[in-house]
Amino acid sequence: MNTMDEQLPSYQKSVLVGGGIVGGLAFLVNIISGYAQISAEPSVTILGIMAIMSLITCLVAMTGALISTWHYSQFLEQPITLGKGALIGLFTGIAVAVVSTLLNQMWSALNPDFNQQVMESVIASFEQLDLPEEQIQAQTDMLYNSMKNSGSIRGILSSIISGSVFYGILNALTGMLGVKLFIQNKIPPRDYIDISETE
Amino acid sequence: MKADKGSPQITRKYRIGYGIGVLGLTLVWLGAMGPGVWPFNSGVLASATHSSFSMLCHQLPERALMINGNLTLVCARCAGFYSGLLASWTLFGLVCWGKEEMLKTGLNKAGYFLVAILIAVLANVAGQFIGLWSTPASLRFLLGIILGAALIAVIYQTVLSEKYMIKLNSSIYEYHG
Repeated sequence: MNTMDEQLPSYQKSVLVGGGIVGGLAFLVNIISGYAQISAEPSVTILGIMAIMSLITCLVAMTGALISTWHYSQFLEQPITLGKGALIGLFTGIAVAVVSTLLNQMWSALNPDFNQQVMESVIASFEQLDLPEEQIQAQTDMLYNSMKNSGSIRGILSSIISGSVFYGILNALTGMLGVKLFIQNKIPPRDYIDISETE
Repeated sequence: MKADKGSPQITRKYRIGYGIGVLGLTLVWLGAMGPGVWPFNSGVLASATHSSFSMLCHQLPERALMINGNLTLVCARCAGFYSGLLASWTLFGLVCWGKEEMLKTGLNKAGYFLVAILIAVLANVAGQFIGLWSTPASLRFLLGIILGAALIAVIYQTVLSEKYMIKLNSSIYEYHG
């Protein structure tokens, strides 16, 4: 246990800020792309729009830890290690998974037909692609199973758990980057204190 | 306790971090590659994993790779990205143990490289979207690998800087890790 950990402010608030913002943004991008998908005729262009939207989501989902470490750096008077940054990123990833899953569930409760409409539209677009029948069938089955389980307790839990693992690990990486960008350059490593101060 | 160069406490800390990184990135890689590389075939797990990656990738089937008769759960570029993360994290760590100084010199401009490859990927996506060109899956996979490797290079550069500061300060500072 590091003796100076006790002097560091808690990072829970920063994790909630980063996870909340990014979870909310990821949910919004999903909803917008879902409605773009539903309201248009099935076409490869719509899949292209989804690809662009998902590219944004991908970048956003990995920036959660950057937001958290930046927010945390505002309260720091001493630097933290990369390990601490990874930990902040891990918890931010978990927060992203929880927030986005819960928002998706709330949206599904308010609009029960939304997921069904999105799935039917995506499947209709898949059928326009030049793919072997077995690939289309495999993809359709996977989408159908995802949608069928999404509303159940098991589906929600598995979504939170698997999302926490993937977002957690990826945000742990960007959490370390956040330490480099926002914290480490300002002040020297914290794990060390001057002997002359202790003696 | 006084921390000297190559302190067992510091080395142990980095080795644990390295091991956790390898395990975590292997998990992400297995998830991204899908049932084609899994030792078992679970429909429930495939659906949950597919659902999780839906916020990280467009998952278009014609952009995915086919492995052992199964489509990957992410597109070729993302599959390359996760492969690049895992491969470079593992390799840089191994090099770091044997030739740390060489790695430190090699990763000196990693940040610029990351920005350059990020611009290249975005240009590739934009060009493809507006119909200027069509990039084959192999090239998208390769770009993804380079992007993942560049991200890990920046992280290793940061890790090595931290280690360097520890060594630099070890003669005058006391270790409390």
